Amino acid sequence: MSIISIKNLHKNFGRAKALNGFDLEVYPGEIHGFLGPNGAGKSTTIRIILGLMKKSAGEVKLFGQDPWKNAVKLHEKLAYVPGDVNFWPNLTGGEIIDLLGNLRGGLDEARRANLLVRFQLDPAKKFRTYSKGNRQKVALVAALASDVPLYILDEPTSGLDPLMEQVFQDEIRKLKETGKTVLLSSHILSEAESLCDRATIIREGQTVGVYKLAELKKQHKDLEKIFLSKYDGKDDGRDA
Amino acid sequence: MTGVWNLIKLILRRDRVKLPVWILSLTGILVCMIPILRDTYATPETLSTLHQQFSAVPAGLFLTGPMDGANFGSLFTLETILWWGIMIAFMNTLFVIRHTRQNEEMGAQELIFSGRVHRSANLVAVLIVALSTNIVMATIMGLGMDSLYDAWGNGSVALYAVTMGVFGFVWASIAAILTQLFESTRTANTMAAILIGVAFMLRGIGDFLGEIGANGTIQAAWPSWLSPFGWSQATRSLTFPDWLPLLAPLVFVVVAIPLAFFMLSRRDVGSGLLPARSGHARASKFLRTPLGLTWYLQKNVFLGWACGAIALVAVVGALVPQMSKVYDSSPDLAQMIAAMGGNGALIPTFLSAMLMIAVLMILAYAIHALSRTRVEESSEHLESLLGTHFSRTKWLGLHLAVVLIGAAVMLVVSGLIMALCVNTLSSWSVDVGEYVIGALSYWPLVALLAGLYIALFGLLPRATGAVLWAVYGFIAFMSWIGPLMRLDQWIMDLSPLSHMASAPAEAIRLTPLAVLSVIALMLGVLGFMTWRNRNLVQH
Repeated sequence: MSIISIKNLHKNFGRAKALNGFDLEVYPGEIHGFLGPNGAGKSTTIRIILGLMKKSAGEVKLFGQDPWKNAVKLHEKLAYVPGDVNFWPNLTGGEIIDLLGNLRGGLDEARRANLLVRFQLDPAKKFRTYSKGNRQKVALVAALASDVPLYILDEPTSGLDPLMEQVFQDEIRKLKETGKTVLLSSHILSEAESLCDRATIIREGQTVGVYKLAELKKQHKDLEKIFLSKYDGKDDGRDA
Repeated sequence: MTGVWNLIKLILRRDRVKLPVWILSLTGILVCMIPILRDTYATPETLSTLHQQFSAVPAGLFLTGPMDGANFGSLFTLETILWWGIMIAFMNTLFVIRHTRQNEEMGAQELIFSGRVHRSANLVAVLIVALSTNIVMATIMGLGMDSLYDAWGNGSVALYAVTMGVFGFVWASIAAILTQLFESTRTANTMAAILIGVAFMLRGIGDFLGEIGANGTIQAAWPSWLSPFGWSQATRSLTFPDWLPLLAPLVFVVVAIPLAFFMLSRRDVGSGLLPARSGHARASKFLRTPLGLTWYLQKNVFLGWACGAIALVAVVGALVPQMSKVYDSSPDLAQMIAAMGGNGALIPTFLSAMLMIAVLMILAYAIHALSRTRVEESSEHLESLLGTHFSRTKWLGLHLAVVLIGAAVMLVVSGLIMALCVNTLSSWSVDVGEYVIGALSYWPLVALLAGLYIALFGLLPRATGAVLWAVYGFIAFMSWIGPLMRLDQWIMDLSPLSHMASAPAEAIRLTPLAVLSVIALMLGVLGFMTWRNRNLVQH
């Protein structure tokens, strides 16, 4: 059974079509890359998977259930990192990590401590004083310290420096070793190439390709070339 | 419901300073009013004189509500029920919107809802804390009032406190609906402020059109029943206590809260029921210029306050024909009015007092509009702007110019519209030019506050907003409540308004205006000099 199964998903905002017949299958235990330019519909898809937005049409199953109807129960089994991390300026990073962990049903204390060291994050600072990268680390530590079957990460590394990017990739590989599933939305194709088992490419709200990274490697094909070929002469693919 | 308890803890943690400060200052100052007012109006004679004055000058009716009799309870009610009401209303709407729409706008709500949290849990938690806040506030009010003044009796004091608490929760439930409708925090807060203003004016009209009832008190006309302020007044807790009018807010809350939850269930997280419109793909020629950008940032603040001030003066102008009716209904009153100089003196006094309220709104506009500079600085927008060849001095100068000119326009329009309304709607006629110039004579006061803002913006940027609003609160308090409290003259004189003529009823005094202008100019120069030499302050 797929962890996430989406068939022919549509989402309209007024007249604008954010998703227009999108398909996605995420299998248990895989790291699944979710690739596409800004405005292609990645974040909308993730919000629908999380039950934060209501689909206009199509079928969405998370652990075999409808995420809009069973949001609360399903959220016990996942941790989420948004692309834009913004919290209340007068709470500290440590407080926010504990709060989010608590809302997910508890944190693994040892992992929390270990992750703070690995990501070099000072948890006693007020959120407003963090730089962009450190804000992202707060959300990452909160998510990775939760022991759940599924991790949904929406462009989680856009503000991290190369050293932290390495730490992030190590941690994601550790998750895979313990049998967790990860949905990783990203623009950074090298990151997707080195981490993912499979990748789905989205354009203008539709699936334009699903690739097994191991096979691409065997055929000496380059993910970046494939990605760019999907957008050849399609500058307008970037509209909302 | 899953997650409610955790969210309540989060709200309390975030507001660990804000909520106690709100509650303690609201209740503390209210309770302090008791001994101050009691000592000022210690004898029945003083109360009785005051009662007569209040019956004669309908300005009082519009601003404070009626004075039910020559007793301390009615004095305390008219001093507190509406003005504290405004503060309580803001405490509640700001609180609810801060913990709902603002969370969604900054994106934090999304992460919270990805946890084991029911979709409605946040609104439940916010309303529980709002309800508790109002209960705590009402309890402290009741206990404080009871311990300082026992002549009212427990029942009356309890009714007063419950009325205030219920009133607060009504505004929390109004905000719970607003937050579902609008995608931006700023729009939701602006709508809440507009509704508070409209509700205040509705009951002003209701009181104004009211008729003398059986027990000699003024019974408000129907517009008051459309306003939560009117519901609070109707309990007359300290004079003729009546619990029955509390049914209105109760019914309102019972309808409004389920409606808010229904609306919440119909929308996506982060979106509003009223969709945000998409804008232009290109900047207009005007917007591309520094002045164009400044005006764009200032436009909505200006239009909002201008509409408020114009609505106020228009309503006041339209009420003038009603004034003669109030006088005709009581021969005693007519006699007293004759002694005070007749209608010929009273109407200008009334209109000048009302113009003063418009002036206070325009002062608030100036502070609100200038605060945009701090918003721009702390949100890091300014950094990108100053990275172009837009100089610091020009940036601040343009904001200042837009605000000073905007305030002047609002003053002129307020005077003009008030005079025109009186002239066209009533048998009275006033000199339009006198009203326009009278209104404009308050402009140096706007300049003074603007100068103070600029000076602080240069010297103490983090404290600018708080200091300015405190100064504003002092000036407003001195002009509304100060005279009634018969404070020492030197305290009154700390407010610049006490040196100025109450135009157009009194002749304009030029010396204070010149002094204020010179001080304003010096503060402004100081501000610009320090601003050019300081670091940008983000947090």
